[in-house]
Amino acid sequence: MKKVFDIAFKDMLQSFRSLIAVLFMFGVPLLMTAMFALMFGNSDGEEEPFTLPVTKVILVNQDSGSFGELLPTGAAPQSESAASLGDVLTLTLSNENLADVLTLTEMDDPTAARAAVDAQAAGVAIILLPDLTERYLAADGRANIEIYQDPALTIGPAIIHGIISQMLDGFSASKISMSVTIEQYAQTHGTIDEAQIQSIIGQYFASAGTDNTSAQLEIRAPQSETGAEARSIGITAMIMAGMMIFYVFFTGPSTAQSILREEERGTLQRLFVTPTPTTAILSGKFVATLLTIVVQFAVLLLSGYFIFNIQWGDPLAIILLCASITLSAAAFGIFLISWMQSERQAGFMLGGVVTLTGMAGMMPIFVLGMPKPPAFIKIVSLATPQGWAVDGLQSLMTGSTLANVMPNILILLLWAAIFFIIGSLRFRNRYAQE
Amino acid sequence: MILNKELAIQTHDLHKDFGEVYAVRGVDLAIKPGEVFSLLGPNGAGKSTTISMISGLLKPTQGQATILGHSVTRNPQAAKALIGVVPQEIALYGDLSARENLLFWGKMYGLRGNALKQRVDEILTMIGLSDRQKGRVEKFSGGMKRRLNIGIALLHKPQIVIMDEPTVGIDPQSRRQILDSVMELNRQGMTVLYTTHYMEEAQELSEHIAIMDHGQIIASGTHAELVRIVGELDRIELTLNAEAERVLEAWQQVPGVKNIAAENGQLHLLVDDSNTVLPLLFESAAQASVRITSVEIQEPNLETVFLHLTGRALRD
Repeated sequence: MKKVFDIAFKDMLQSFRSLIAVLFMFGVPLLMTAMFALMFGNSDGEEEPFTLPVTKVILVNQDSGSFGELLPTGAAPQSESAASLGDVLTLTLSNENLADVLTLTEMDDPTAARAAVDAQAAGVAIILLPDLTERYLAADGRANIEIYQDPALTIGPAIIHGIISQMLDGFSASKISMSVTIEQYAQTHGTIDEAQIQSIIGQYFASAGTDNTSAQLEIRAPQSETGAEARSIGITAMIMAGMMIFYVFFTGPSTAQSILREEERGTLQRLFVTPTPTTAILSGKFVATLLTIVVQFAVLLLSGYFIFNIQWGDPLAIILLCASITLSAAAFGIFLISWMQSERQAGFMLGGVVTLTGMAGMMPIFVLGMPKPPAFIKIVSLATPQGWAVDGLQSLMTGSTLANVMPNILILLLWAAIFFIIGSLRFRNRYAQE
Repeated sequence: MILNKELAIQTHDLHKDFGEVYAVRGVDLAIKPGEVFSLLGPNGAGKSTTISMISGLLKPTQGQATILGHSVTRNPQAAKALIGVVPQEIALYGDLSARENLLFWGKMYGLRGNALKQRVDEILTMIGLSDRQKGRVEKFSGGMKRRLNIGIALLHKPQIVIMDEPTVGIDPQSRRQILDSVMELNRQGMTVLYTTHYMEEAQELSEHIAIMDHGQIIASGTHAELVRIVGELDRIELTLNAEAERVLEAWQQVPGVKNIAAENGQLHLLVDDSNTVLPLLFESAAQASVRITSVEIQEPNLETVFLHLTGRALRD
């Protein structure tokens, strides 16, 4: 048993003496995280939740039309304040549910509104022409709304555009449905009187009016679906978690690569002629890989906490999760190296396999900004051990408990067992006296 | 196999095949404690494969090997604890210091604590690296690495040291130091199994020599016994100013010529009596318009034995 640790400590000494190894283990993950922190701000979930920028919007409502004048009696929307389409848009954009996304200022002069955008006093100016309602309700139904935006902005104007489009789509759908309903009613009943038409029109416009706009846009920060106690997490924390997992799974194979290095340099054969069982030699290599990853994890977790103020979550859960990740990454290394014949081959193959599986595992981080990422992203991610590791860390950072991440821990241990059994069997066969 | 526990190394009918390649075929060795035994043969003769089996690195396809009565296949740990192996290639950790290397390998041989530290100091003194003990091995010269390579095999004071061509590719001074250290180890009572393709080394170091070729022992005995195989034959080395093929056929017909081998522009001949054969060789060369540019006549030695037995020069 002592010899196992002698071999492990010798391997670790060699690893930590290598500047390149130390750089990849600690330097690169921390540097990458620091770069993201500088780009996006060092936001921590509790203190600075993920937020979208608030866009200053100027609305120039010149719409002089009225539903009441243009529709049969009783068919206009029931809201007292929404006499025209311009009024409906004003009410929609003034909705308090949109306060986190935009601040609305009303003006009368379109030129002054555009000038305010040019001067970057506002991000977007929405100009509603005087005949908006009239043209919208006409037979061809073509009405124009001018959106004048700061070209330097992207997210805010896109959101404003989306809100207006969604609302107008709702009106258009109602218009089409209304026409179809009246037509079908006439075909079914033979005749349709004016009162019935007014009733149908009234119902449709009522449903397309101001009261349903609050459900048109849902904006939320990326967070886990773990319930009421879920916290939002900063992008820096997610990048750090991703980098940590990526490089931990890189350290596994690169440390296990010492088996090939020793074989090529003749020291492995020399070990085999000492009174040291082959099992002890291979165990020493595995323990070296494990301990190296433990050190790497410890340094990166503490650096994340102290440098980037990352809250990793429940300490017991994080320890158990990291232990399962460590075992999985070390076994992953033994497994991969067992298929390689030389250090040169390992260099090429490991770079590809580790990068590919690491990227696949980190895919949920890449789509962090998407409100509804495609389902395949998670499926692909969870096809790799890195994916389960990232998912587990992400869960803990959003306030999950040990029970919540227990499936991640068990699956990572299962990966570890599979990798270790296959890898160690292959090595035993390879180094059984030929 | 009749097991003789008094023998330091004993092999019986040792075979090793690598698929269709028969590397070692029926090697029998009996090496007594306290002797230096040389395994002499050209590259590819099967020397390294034989000692790999004796040291437990390779499993014999057939046959047995024992170290002081311990089977290397049935009781490998006990057998390995009795031997120190000096591999042909330098097998050291370049990114560790000389002392760190010795400490690590000492632990692999079961040494611990003060005993280990003391032994490391002794070895460092023995191999002349005390003042460079903290230097990284990758910065050492070839000779220093060779000495450290040997020092590691001596850490646990083995009863038997197996050296696989330890002088390959080093300068004459380091070579001399290594040969002196082998003799010193032997004086201290260690048994040495030494493989080489240098006839002079085997001749200088060993009481017993086995000549190996194509995986087999083709001759074995003391130096005198081996030389007696070729009887009173003289060995002549000739250099020509033209292709050897122009005289080879004619010289094979010259009375008294027993064996001819051409190698690297030189001709090696075994003849009954050089005084009578040489004039005939000159005459034959003149008839073929070939000039003999150098002649060397040697007393029978191991080189002569190998040429006699295989028809090839030892350094092939």
